[in-house]
Amino acid sequence: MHPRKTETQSLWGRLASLRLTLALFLILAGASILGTLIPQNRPFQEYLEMYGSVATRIFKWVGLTDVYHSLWFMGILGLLVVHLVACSLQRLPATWKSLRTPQRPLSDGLLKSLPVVKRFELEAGVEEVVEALRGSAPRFFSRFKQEKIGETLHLLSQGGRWSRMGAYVAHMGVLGVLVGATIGFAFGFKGFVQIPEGKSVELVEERGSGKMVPLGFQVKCERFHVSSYPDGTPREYRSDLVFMKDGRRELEGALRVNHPISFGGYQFYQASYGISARVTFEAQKDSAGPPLKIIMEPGDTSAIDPQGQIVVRFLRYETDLQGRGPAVLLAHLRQDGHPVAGWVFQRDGKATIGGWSLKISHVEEHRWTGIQVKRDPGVWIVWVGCGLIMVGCAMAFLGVHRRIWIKLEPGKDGTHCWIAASSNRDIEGTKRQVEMLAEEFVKKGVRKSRG
Amino acid sequence: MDSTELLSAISLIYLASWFAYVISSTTRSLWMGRVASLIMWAGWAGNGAGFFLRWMESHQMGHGRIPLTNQYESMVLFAWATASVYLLLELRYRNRIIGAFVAFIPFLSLGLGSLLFDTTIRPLVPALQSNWLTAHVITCFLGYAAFAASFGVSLLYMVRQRLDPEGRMAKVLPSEDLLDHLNYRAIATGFPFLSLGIITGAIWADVAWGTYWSWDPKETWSLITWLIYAAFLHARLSRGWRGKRAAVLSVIGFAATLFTYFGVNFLLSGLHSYA
Repeated sequence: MHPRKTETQSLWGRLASLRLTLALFLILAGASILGTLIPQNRPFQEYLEMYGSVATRIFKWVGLTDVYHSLWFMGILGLLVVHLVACSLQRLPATWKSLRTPQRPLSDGLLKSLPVVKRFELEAGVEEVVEALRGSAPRFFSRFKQEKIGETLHLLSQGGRWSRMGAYVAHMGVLGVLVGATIGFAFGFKGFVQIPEGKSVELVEERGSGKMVPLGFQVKCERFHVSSYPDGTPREYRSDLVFMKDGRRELEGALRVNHPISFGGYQFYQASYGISARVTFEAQKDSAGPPLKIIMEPGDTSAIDPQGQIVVRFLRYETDLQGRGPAVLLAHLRQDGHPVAGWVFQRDGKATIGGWSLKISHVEEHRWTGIQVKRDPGVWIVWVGCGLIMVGCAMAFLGVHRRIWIKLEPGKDGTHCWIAASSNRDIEGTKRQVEMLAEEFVKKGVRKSRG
Repeated sequence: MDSTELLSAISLIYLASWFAYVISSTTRSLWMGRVASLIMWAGWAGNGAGFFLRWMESHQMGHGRIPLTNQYESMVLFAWATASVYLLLELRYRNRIIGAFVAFIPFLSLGLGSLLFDTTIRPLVPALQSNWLTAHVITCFLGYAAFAASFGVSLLYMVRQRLDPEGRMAKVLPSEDLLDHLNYRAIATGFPFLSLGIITGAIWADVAWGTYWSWDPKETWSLITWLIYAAFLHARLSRGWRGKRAAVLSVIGFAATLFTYFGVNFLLSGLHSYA
């Protein structure tokens, strides 16, 4: 043989080895534990504070701050896929063949290899024993195939062969889950959008990249409702949505938690809600002249002086901060270039920025609903895979492939009797079954002595 | 008497039954063993009555829902499921000594649940208002209970190994083979239930949040537990790992189960903040 071929065979063999199975389980479990001990996907600053700069840099480099999406973790999952395929391809032909091979009568060699063997003597002759059994338990007896070799009678039965296929079915299922997840990861979309009450959107922010992606239609939130139980526990979050295409109302629906809506190839999920505001500020210098009016919403940046030199940014709105009513978090650049941020309250609050005094003159609140948007072309493969895992488990754990051999050999004054059995699992149960069977024989055939 | 008081009392009944199991197995008293079983059955019935009483109470409060929605309620269920799995084992294998190694689990679960956690009946928040709740929680806890039984059996196996094989105790205990077999049977039962629990959880997460898997700590730890028991099954079925090694893996698996159940809630934070 060419050395090259044996090499590939041994690599192939190693890829399908149980040692690799156990190693993969161990590594996946270990990596998963790491991912729950080290907080994942936090801002860089947080890691610096927790672990210091050296550890943070190592963590970042190894990918420990995003274990489950790191290249090495995906590599292990890839190896798992290869391993599953290798195992199935390597073992299936042998399993299939052994399932197709008919059960052979009990030979001496076979007898030695079987895990359960019981031997005893009966006083009755072979025919008498068989007749007695057939009379008392015809249904049980019909499961056995009879074969006569010389004077010796062999009774053979096997059941639950299909249970041997359970492992292959379950492994196909795991493969399906991994393939489906990969398809979802590569071709799916996950995004989030905030829609103010009464407004509509057609762009959704992609999670991770932050890219604004056009849906190809508009989603309008007509109203957002929150209701509570008497004890204050929230009862329902509901967005009344309208899906519009080219100005036509195509679908109306109430979006609630646990009740997603599908439209235009996307699924929509009620995720969060909040309150935002359109705030009117008045800016004035040295209390002289009429105040300048500026209208802003969260996220807006605007100048507060006519020259456009003093620029502020509206960071956040709180409807009731520290029990002191509406407040706005504003940021601006100091003259030395440092950014500073501070809260401005509507009630008796005034900020002084670059010689200008700023106060809130009017607040117009509105609610927004936060909606999760997704498209996942692989999800059905994941569910089929899950189904196969469960079917495979049921086959493998509920069924038992069990073979029973009975050999009745005529002796000088009676019958030499062997009962042997094998099973792919549940040897205890098989032993018990053989014991019961032997008892039945002894009852019908009168036992003489133990062999 | 309301369900909370009833269930606290039941935890003491479980304790009594555990004592009776321990006494019967050390003194080899058959009579005491029967008493232990009887008390265990009483505890099981009371545990179930408490569960349904709490369900009824929630309906009387005007927001009826199955009591499976917080730490306390999950511990009531865990106690009940463990007691059920144990009693099934006892019926099937006619052996009460395992009781000495399993019966303390429902006692601890119900007792600690009543002492440490908020027992108020609260209505369901929107995320929990789903038909998947019942399927997800019940399958998970049947899995946990089977793993608890495998843990008890493995403890017994380890104790038996250290005993003098000719000694009085060793003769009363189930054979090493039977214990090893029971360990396997319990895990082979628990594993499909855990798988089903994870799958129903994934389906529910997909309906509620639009992601079937988000590497939330609870999800991740359920996967770790699943991997450990998967390793147990593969090592056993393909490599014939039995006896001590199987018992050790089973104990590690149950430690991971407990961490998935409790550790994640108290030590790590995530989406799964109910129980």
